[in-house]
Amino acid sequence: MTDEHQEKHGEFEREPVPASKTRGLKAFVGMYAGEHCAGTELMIGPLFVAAGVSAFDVLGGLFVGNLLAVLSWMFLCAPIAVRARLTLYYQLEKICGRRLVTLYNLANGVMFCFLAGSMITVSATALGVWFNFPMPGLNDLYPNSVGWVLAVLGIGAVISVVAAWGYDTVSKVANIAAPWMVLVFFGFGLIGLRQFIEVTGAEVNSLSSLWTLCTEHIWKGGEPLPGQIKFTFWHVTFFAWFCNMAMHVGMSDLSVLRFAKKPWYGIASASGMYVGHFMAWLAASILYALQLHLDPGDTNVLPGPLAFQAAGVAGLICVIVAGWTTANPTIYRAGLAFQAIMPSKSRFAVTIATGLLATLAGMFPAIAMRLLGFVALYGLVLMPMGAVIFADFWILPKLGLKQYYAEHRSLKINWAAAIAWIATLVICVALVKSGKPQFQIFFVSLPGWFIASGLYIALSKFQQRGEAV
Amino acid sequence: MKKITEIISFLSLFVIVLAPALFYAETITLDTNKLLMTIATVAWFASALCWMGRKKKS
Repeated sequence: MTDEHQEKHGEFEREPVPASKTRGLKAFVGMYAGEHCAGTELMIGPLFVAAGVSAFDVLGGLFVGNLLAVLSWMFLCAPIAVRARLTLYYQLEKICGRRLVTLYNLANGVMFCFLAGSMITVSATALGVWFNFPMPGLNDLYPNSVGWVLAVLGIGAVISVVAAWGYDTVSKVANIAAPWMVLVFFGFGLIGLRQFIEVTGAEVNSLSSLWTLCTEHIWKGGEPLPGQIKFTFWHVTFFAWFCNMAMHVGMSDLSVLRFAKKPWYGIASASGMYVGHFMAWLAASILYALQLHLDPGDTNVLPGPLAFQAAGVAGLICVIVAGWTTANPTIYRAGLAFQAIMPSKSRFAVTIATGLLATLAGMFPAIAMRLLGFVALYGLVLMPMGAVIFADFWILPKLGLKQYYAEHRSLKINWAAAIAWIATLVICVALVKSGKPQFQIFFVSLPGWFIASGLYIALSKFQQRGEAV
Repeated sequence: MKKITEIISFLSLFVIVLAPALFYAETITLDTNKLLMTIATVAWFASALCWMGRKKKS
């Protein structure tokens, strides 16, 4: 790791970003658009169709859910980011103490590993087209062929080594691929739509006839495929809102938006939401709906074959690049999180080990095939810390309580924050386990945020009783 | 030279959108669309690598 590299990725880690280093809106628009057009979009769109969404539910739900996500970036994350101008980890350390941040890093690192694993899974489906080995089905939990294991192992090994050695190179390739990838996704949608028109014999010459095609053939609604949860308007809305919960409500993007000149730059996230989480999801879902229309028995969600039948080799390259360029920074971030726990180990060794863990996870299709639930769980696990940061920044001073309590008292662990985090997770898991539809994993983070904030405020009041500010 | 590679890059991106649009309009076949998208993909990466992300000379 060069000094230049460390400087690039480790700047202002323990100090506020100076005004001279802040960036304009354009930098964030490009970054969000590229980051949210990833390999996993090719899984999520089809999984909506497998969940039996109707046209109104998917279009309306995505519109509203993505809007709520953008508003969360704008009004929850960005205002704190531009006022404090600190990384998430440093801000958490000041509030929670170093030991609790270590635990947070562990949770974050494990989640990143599984997420990177699903991205490796996506890339491996492209190799299946070339080498024609059996690939996992929608309800498969375990690897189902030697070819599949070898493909995941091969891609995972390359990604891990590159993440450990050449993060900057991958970052450059990712920047170059971003505009091309967005347009290929758009192309998937157009191609799928034309193929739908051909196979159904529908006449599309107006918005109303297009809507008829959408409601009657593409997103028909009805029962989900066996083993899948039925998705309604509310499921789509909450999924779109919370799939990046760790970043906006969970405040991970404090580290990004601390470079923004103005708090309203959080609106830049709209580029990622409406390109990646609207257009790309819809395009991928059209391809999968077409596959089901042609052969209702072929329920496999395999981005490689889907992209290949639409765009040939360009489609396969898109699947590999989309998975690779997003898995790489994810493994790199997971490596950083783990290295914070084991600072004596080299970053290279930790990143390689992290990559191998992600590769192992990628061999099990259960994660990719259950990506909707996993993404919701990922947001839930990290969300309470976002609520703690929000309450600490805005509410504690108004109640006459001390902000950044761990720093103030030189605590290694702030028990108010620790209990708020763990208790919120226990309560949310209990709510999910209750089996009530309103407390499904996709929804439970909303009450969870209020529970976490309330607990942290109440426990801080108790913790700081008798102390003058 | 840089100007030429930039033009090739933008043309490649244009073809990436144009090919599916022509397929949608039933002007080209799916196979032609796939071929055009693949050629444009190769052209995009080959040309963009020459100029994207490179620091401007002072």
